[in-house]
This record gives sequence, C-alpha cells and structure tokens, in this order.
Amino acid sequence: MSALDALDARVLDMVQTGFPVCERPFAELAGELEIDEDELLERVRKLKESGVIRRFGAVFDSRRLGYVSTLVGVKIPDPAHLPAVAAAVNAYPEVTHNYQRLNEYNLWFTLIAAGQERIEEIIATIGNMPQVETIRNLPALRLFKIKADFKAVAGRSGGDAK
Amino acid sequence: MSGNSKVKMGEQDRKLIRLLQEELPLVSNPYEELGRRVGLSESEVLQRVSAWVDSGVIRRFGATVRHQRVGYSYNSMVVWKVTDPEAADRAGEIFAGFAEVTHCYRRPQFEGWPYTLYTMVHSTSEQGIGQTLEKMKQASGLQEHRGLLSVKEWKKTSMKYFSEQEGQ
Repeated sequence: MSALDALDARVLDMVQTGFPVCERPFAELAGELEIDEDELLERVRKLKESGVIRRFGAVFDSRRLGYVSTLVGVKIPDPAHLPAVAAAVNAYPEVTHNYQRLNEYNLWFTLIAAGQERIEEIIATIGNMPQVETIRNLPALRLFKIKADFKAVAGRSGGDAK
Repeated sequence: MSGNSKVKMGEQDRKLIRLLQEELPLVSNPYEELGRRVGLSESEVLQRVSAWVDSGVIRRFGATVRHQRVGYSYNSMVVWKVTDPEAADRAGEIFAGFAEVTHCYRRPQFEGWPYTLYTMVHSTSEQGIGQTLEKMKQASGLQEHRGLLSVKEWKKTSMKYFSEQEGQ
C-alpha cells in the first residue's frame, strides 16, 4: 500500500478516539480538519479498505457489561505441538488475542467470558491437553493503564504484521 | 456515574451494542442508520451512546488502527520482577505515565515467576524499545525485567459482547 500523507495522519489522529456523538459526526470532524464531509468520508473508507483502519466502532469496558477477563500463560515443552494447542485455543470465540512468545511459557492468550465459570472451564480444557505441561491463569489484580491509540507517523506505510 | 458497577442492558441495548462493536456505517448520519437497524430513533440512539461514553461503558469510540501500519512496528510485552504488591503498584502508576506504554497491569505471582507487573511497550524502532525500558527502570527503580518477544500472532480480534454464539 502507499505511504500515508499528512492529511491521512491527521485524519487517523482525529478518528481514533472521542468520535463525536451527534447527528453529523463526520461533518463535525471535517470542519475541524477544514475539509469537506465527503472528502473525510472518502479518506476514512480508503484507510479501511487498505487495512490501516482495522475496525471502526466502539470498544466496551468488559467489566461494565458483566464480563470477566484474564491472561493465560501456557507451557508447551515440545514446540512441534504448539500449532495444535494454538488451534484449540483459537477455536473459542472468548479468546481475543493469542501469541506465541519466546519463553518457557510459549503461548499466551487473553480470555473474555460471560462468567468466571466459563473462564475456568476453558482453562481446564486447554490445561488437560496432553501437549500442555502447565497452564497459568493470570487475571489482572490491578489495572494501571489500557490505551490503544497511536499517533500516526506521516510518510510511513508500514509493512504487514509479523 | 462512572465506576466499575455492572450496567443492566435491555434487549434493544444489547442489539445496539452488537452493532456498535461491528462497523459503524461510514455515512453522513451513522446513528440514524444504526437506529433504523435496531428499531430506535436517531435521538434514542444518540442518547444511549452518549450515556455509555460519559459513564465509561464505552471505553473508546472510533477507529482501531493496525499499529504496524502507522509506524509503530515494534512492540514488546515486558514483565517486571517485583513481588511486593505495594512496590508493584508504585511502579505501575509510574509506568502508566509513559506514552510508549499502552497496557500496564499487576497480575499474580507463581512458582518460578517473580514477575507481577506486565507492560506492553511500543516504538517505531527496536532501539526505541530499549531506550524506553531504560527510562522506565530509572523512573521506577525496578531492575529486572524480561521481554516476552512475540514470534507468531495466532489470533487477534475484537471481543463481540452479547454475541449469540458465545458459550454461557
């Protein structure tokens, strides 16, 4: 894909957080950017088509909706078994992130479920797989920060995710 | 009324939440369009969404950017050795002030694992990660950390709340 231009970078900074809740939100943002509403909509559509914008919507606070979340670390001694365990983990819609990492705990995933029982059920099922030596449930005891917006850097097209 | 209390949601709220976590229609009047799909007027949608944003039920509203594509190609999950919860909390507050740190949590200790503070550090270069870690060490006084380098992304998706297929 082509590099982001200066306007793309400004658009990205503006649409990542605090999207206006009013009848014509894009018109409001376009006013601040001093461009037309149609031009802004077209830019946003293109940024989505090219994959720079992964999603355009709301991120909810899982706890406020009554959901329980945790981080799980898994030790799989034989790396040849990793794909099978990763696939079993991925099959749950409650799993949002799943990464292989350079550590004796070599698979780490996040779980968000409608209740604690469901969390424990999933962890027990994965933990009982013969390829898994140890599984650790690591719920947050305290949250200091959660933020996921980035200032866009104009001129960088960025490669694909590793 | 922000806080951590659970909010009661009716069926229409759930429908609206389902749509809001999908794709916002990229049209001039997206809230009117959402209302049409769930059977609410534009003003009823605006009222609900504003209340959720104000009270923190909606944590963030807008575009989620693939950060590898905006220049922040380097990230590392870094865990810090600190076993005293109070010391961990002090360091956690300090780390939260770093722009390069997007996530910071304290999690349980377990056998052979004295790392209780978890941070996600982002940068535009590998060098930048190292420099940030150095600054974090100086600011917090914590010495030992481990980077859990990700070698493969098996899954990365957004949570779908109130989805009909989720196991209960």
